[in-house]
Amino acid sequence: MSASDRQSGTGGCGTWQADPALLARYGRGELHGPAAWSIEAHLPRCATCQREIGSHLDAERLGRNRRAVLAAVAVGPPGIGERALVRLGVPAHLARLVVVTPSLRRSWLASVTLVLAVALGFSYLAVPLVGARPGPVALGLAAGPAMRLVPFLVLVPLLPLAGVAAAFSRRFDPTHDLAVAAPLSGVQVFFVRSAAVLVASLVPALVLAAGLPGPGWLPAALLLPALAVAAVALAASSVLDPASAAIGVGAAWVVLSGALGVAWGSPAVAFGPGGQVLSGAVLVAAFGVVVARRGRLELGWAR
Amino acid sequence: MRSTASQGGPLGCLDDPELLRAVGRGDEAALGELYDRHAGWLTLRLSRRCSSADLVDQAVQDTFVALWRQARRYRGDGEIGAFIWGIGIRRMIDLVRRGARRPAGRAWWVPSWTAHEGLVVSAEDEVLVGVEHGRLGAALDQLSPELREAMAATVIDGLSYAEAARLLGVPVGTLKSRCYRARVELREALL
Repeated sequence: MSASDRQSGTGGCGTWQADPALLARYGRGELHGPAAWSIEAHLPRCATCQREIGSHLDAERLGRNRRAVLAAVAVGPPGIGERALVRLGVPAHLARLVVVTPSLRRSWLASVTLVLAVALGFSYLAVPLVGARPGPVALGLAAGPAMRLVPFLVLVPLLPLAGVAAAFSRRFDPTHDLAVAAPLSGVQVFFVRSAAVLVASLVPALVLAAGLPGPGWLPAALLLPALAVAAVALAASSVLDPASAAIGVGAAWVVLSGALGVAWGSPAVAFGPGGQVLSGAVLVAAFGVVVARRGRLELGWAR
Repeated sequence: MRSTASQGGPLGCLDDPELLRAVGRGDEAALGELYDRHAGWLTLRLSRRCSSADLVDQAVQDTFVALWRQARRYRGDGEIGAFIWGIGIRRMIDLVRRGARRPAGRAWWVPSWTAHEGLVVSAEDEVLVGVEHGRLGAALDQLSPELREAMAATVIDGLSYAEAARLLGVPVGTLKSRCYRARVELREALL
């Protein structure tokens, strides 16, 4: 017995040994007062009594906690984003589901910002390329200066689109199987992730848009068309798989805005008053489709 | 419940400080072995201080997760059992205090290592082992439940007055005066 006592370290049982009957009463919660105190002072140090007391506990409960500990250790601590979400009142399991979204990873958001920054730079550096051409005025900009905004304006709706597609693509999402098996309906996961991705990719876009040459309200004008494009893609993914939906809708956006720009003689026309009204209508219609067909919007819907 | 590893596996031969050092090197099996040795009594002892089995389970889990994250800073002195208790009871107090406010929050509270140094084998523990035989045991038995509770939290659990007051849900002043009265009564009974 003394050999195993040494397991617990420096203490060991020494001269005092808890009576097995006393331990059993303590284990059942029947022991009170000084006798219970004695056991409690003794237990942390005595390997023999630790083994003995373990038999008085629900093995399943201990096993459950053991698995939880080892799982928590294997997963690692939550990052800044997850802790912030939990602090804001988001349930912990939902927060984890959001932060593992592929298009919410730091690398993805950094590349979105980089692409937009390049487009922003283009709008300043491309003056010699485009030059000043006469033409109709849209968004408070003459046609010439507006041409320089084209890369940025085309990209702003495309990036959230790519983000949404990546968020639901089996190819990019290492947690896809986990998310499908999560104790949440697929629609819940779908909406939570879409909202998170849209917010995360539109924020850098709008911040950088504040640096564009042009009127101060330009960033606000980008919001509605970008949301409308993303909503159409979400609606389309109730029919197609997310990647095809995103590519199709993205191509449609480029063609349509390009055609409108050529017809009106200014590339910014999609963001003008007419474009805003149209975007609003499309957004409402697409949202209606998403809600009506929500039964098809499971994570594994790409069938 | 004990895993088979603790019966004869290589980890079963290590003592607690060696296991904790292995945990510090990132050995998950060593953490499992420490859990198998200490989770049982920790669960029972915490259950006597909190009636919610969920909160106790949470505190036990957090204790071993904290052990995992802090093990590297263990300097190799002091008893592991007392150390684990120090983490567990403080985690328990923390959970009880804000349990009503944020029940679902997965807390990753990590104790500071130094906060537990006062706990490592106190002279009170030495006296208390075997206390139920003899005059001190009889004297303790005569204390009112409130005074016994106050003594247990400060002496047995090794808590500060502020922590014990939080655990028992009384003002710090009340707790201090109860401890004082308990000491006076014990002295009178023993002298």
